[in-house]
Amino acid sequence: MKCLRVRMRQRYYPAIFKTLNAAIVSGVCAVATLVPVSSVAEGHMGHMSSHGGTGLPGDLLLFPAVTGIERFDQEPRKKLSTGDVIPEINVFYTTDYQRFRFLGEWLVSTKTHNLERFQLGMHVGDEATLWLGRFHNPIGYWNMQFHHGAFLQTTITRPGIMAFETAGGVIPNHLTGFLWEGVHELGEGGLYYTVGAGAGPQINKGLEAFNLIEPGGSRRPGVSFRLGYQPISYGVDEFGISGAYNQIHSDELAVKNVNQFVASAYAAKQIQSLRLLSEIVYVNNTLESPLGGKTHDDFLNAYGQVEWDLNPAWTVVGRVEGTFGGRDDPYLAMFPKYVEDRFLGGIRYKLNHTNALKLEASRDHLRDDHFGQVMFQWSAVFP
Amino acid sequence: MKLLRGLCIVGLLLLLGAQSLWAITRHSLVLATSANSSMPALTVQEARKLFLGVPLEKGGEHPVPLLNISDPLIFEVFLQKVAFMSANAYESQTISVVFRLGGKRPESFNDLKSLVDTLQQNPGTVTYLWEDQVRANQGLKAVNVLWQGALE
Repeated sequence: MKCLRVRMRQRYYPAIFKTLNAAIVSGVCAVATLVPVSSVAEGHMGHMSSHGGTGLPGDLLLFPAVTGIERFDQEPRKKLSTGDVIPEINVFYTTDYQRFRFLGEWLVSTKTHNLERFQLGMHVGDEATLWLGRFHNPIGYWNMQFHHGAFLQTTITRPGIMAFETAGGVIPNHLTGFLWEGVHELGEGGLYYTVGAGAGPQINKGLEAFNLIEPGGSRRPGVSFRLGYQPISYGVDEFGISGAYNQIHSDELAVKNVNQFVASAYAAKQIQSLRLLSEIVYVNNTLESPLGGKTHDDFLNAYGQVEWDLNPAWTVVGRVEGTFGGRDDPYLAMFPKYVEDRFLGGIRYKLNHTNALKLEASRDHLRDDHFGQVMFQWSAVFP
Repeated sequence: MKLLRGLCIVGLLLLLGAQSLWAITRHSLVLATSANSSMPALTVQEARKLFLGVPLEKGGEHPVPLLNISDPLIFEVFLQKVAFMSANAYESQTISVVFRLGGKRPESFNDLKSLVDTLQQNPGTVTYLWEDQVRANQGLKAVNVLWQGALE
């Protein structure tokens, strides 16, 4: 995730905001770094400490992170910078009032700032919530599980197919409109369902999601659904499917509109100290030219990730990603920074229950380019 | 005949001894609340959801969970028999559930006295305690048993 932000376009704000962002992010991360990390994970009680004393009626979560990136052997075009250090902070807050719920997530880094989620919800019955606002597109597992919380991910990077719009992603990650979600109890298990509909992104040198603070551009509708079965409801294991239909307006010279179908299946399974996560995503696009001509294309992407907890503090992780049928894909040609294939290995060390250090090395293939990459990240969650 | 009677007595003594031993090591983890509370009984599954940060309404009550980490043993039993996950997984799952769906993570207490005081002062709150801890405190009552058995 962070590596891709290096390549992000600076499209939203003038230089003074950029400087302000950098100052805020650096300040908060510096303060967060000073928080003692002496209670190194030593067992269950070492992981837990009293919390809940924020004095706020809801729950506030701060996800600060600092990511260092080093790239080498970029060939043949050297599209990306050779290195960078990116501090960021993701602020999340949620609260309930009677049958209503508010949920907001704001990400600020030296590369971007965005109101990632801003949702007003109403509980309907015992198991469902109807949301209005900007939310994460319920496509696949990764996008709904980790959002922008770097600490929650074992890896530093997101899979290429799940990359955010601002980071060169090819699938809409955010919609602004209505979201219906809930969990239907099935014995000990649960069926987790989500249906969303709203304004999607436009293509302007990459996908550009609807921005609540600076609305504008030409938006067309998108709908999506996700159905996941959890053998133990709210547990770690989940198996599911999802699908989406997006109409995307394009500002590219050769493409006026894109009609996109996405279908995916995913599985997340914990076996003792081993955690397996895999998704397969099929994308079918119809590109309309300004002259009315239509081009059809499709591609398939799959990734598999294996995590092995050596002990409560150390986790080894590996991931393989691959895209099939994407070589001459005209839709993917509009996303030169999309990571088509990646071999990744890494390790995470949890300093305590709120701080983690990660080291990750990968070999990435973009369209007509490839490189090696080493990343280091400190991430945390407070309080 | 004498030998048979002797064997019977020894067998009876052994049986009584084993029963006493079982009674000593047998533990009951109960859902506890204030004695003034009208909290209905919660199933293990409902308690599990509640302690993962999922809001619950039952019998017109909105129970507020308090995480008892005052004793490693009771927390471990809660993790194994109610939450069905490790401490690491529980910690990340509560954050993940709240981060994904909203709600609120349970407030945790590493001091038993403070936990009991909070329970007594707030009738809508619930926690898990050993049955004998509840019996020893007049201001508390057990809503229902979450787990019962011998500790290995």
